Amino acid sequence: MATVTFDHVTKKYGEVVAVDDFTLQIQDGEFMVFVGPSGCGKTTSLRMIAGLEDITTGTLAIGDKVVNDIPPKDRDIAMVFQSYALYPHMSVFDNLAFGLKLRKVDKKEIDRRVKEAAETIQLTNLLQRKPKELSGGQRQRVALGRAIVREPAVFLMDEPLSNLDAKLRVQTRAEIARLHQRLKTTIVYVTHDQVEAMTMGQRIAVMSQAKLQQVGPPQELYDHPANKFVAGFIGSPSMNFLPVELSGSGETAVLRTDGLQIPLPSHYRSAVGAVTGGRFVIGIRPEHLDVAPLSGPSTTVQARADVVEYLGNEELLHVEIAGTDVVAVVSADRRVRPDDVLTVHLPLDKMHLFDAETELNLPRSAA
Amino acid sequence: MIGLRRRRGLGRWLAFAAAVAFGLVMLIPFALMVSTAFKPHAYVLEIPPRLIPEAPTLDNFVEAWTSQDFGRYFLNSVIVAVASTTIAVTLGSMLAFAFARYSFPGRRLLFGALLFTMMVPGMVLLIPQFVLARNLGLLNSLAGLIVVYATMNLGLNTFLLRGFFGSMPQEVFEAAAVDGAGVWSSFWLIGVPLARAGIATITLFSFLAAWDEFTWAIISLSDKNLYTLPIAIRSFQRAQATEWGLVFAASLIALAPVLVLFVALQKQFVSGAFVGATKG
Repeated sequence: MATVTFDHVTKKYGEVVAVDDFTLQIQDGEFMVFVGPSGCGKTTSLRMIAGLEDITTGTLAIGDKVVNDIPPKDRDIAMVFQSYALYPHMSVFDNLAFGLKLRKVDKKEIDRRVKEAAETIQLTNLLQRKPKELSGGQRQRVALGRAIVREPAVFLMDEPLSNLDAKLRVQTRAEIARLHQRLKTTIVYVTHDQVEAMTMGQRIAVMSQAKLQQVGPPQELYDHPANKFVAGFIGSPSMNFLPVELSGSGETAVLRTDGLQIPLPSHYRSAVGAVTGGRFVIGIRPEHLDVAPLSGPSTTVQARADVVEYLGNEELLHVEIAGTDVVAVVSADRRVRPDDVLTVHLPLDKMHLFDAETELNLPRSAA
Repeated sequence: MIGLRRRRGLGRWLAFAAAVAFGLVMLIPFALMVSTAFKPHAYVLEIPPRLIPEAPTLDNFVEAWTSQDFGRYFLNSVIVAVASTTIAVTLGSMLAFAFARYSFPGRRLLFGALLFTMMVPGMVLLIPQFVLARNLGLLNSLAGLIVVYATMNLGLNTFLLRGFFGSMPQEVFEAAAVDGAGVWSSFWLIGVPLARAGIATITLFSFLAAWDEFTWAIISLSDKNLYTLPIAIRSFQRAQATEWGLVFAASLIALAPVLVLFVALQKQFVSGAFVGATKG
């Protein structure tokens, strides 16, 4: 087990910056998830840990050893690739044993570790098969097994579930989580799927446009997103955003938009100041909206149900508020139908306010 | 619709007929060669020629093998072809792996230089090659043949195998690197087994080129004991009376190792070596 420390790491391909001034410490035994849209630099960061990409500037350490110039084979890491990357000419047994053989591990020990790993990933009866004789799910399990058998200091996983069907993805997700609980090895896991990130990671590093946007436990990212990008990326369905303008000051301050006037929650008063005309963006999660009165402080707006997506226990309502398509998750008991005119309740205490220019989430005061 | 189908049917028949005609053009001389090799001397030039000999005999084979130290020439050819093929395939595959999978300064220039060696006709190089071989003391020796044959095939081998190594999934080599493989292990344990079909192909090409080579052998060898099979077969052709039965029997004997090699390598010429390595 080991820590992984990025210290102002930058990676450039010519003039293109793939990872920009990335600083992060991954704790010993932690399950860290790098999440973000395609091209945000998450896989490049993972590949830098593996030693498969050179670092342009900054230092990367595994444990207390700076590994910038250390080849992959000497980093004591194991990696699970998105595309499996199995050795097609070797049996499952040999795929699993390959890394151990290269390290000249005793034959009996190899046999023991391969069989133990095969048992963990339920591949014992497939050990003599070649990769081409396996299904996609089995191949991905071999790729996992190949990493497990090495007993490395750090596991690196590059979107290992993206090639699996929905059911298998849920199963394998649980397997990886169990594996981490059992081995307690540091895992760095890359995904573009925020559900995967939220369900698996002890901490999540959200990346966008080569920069680290925020790092923290899933709950913290969900409840206190640092900026509009994180707020929109974390949570499904995504947070609703309404551009507004500040009007008035003190207790009479309101946030206005087309046909809608929302009292400025008192905990934002000190953050927004008293600049009439200041531009902000309100963020409200779909699950915080309702068509029935809310328990806390709220405001209401009349809206017509545009589309209703029935999900069994709940419904996704698409309504238009101030010219913006807003999604609300409500209980299926509400029995909303398309074209129903609704009173939508917006909770003031769960509302986020972002600066329209910097897109930073404004801090709430204690009062 | 029917007209289109009929035209397609006709096209298929024409293509088939052309293929049969082409096949016969290739096959008939070979069939006549085999037939003549089994004919007694008196029947070799009979008109019209018979494909199936009236009285087949192995005399030509026995005479070809026992006259003129044919066994020694055969052995010389085996030594030269096996050694030069081994060198050309080993070096060619290493060069190809480096050109395909690693980036280093001058890579394009070096590969271009290697390709250039394939563009220059062999005849143009004979005189400089002769001078160089003489200066290196490689004339009139099997070692001289081995070196020249190995280098002669190196460009093509590298070019062909570079394509094979280049088409292999990058992730497989990255996985090997993370698993602990260095350059040599990646080449030997991953690259070579996955390039089996390509290596089998260049092995056959290199062996054939060395086995059949005549010009450099006749120029560089003066000691009769070092002669290779093409020179020996040529010696059956005489200005006054060529013994075609002997020539063809000797040619068939010379063909045997090539056929054996082809059969031995045949199972390597399979596609789909990468199936299962990666998704898709």
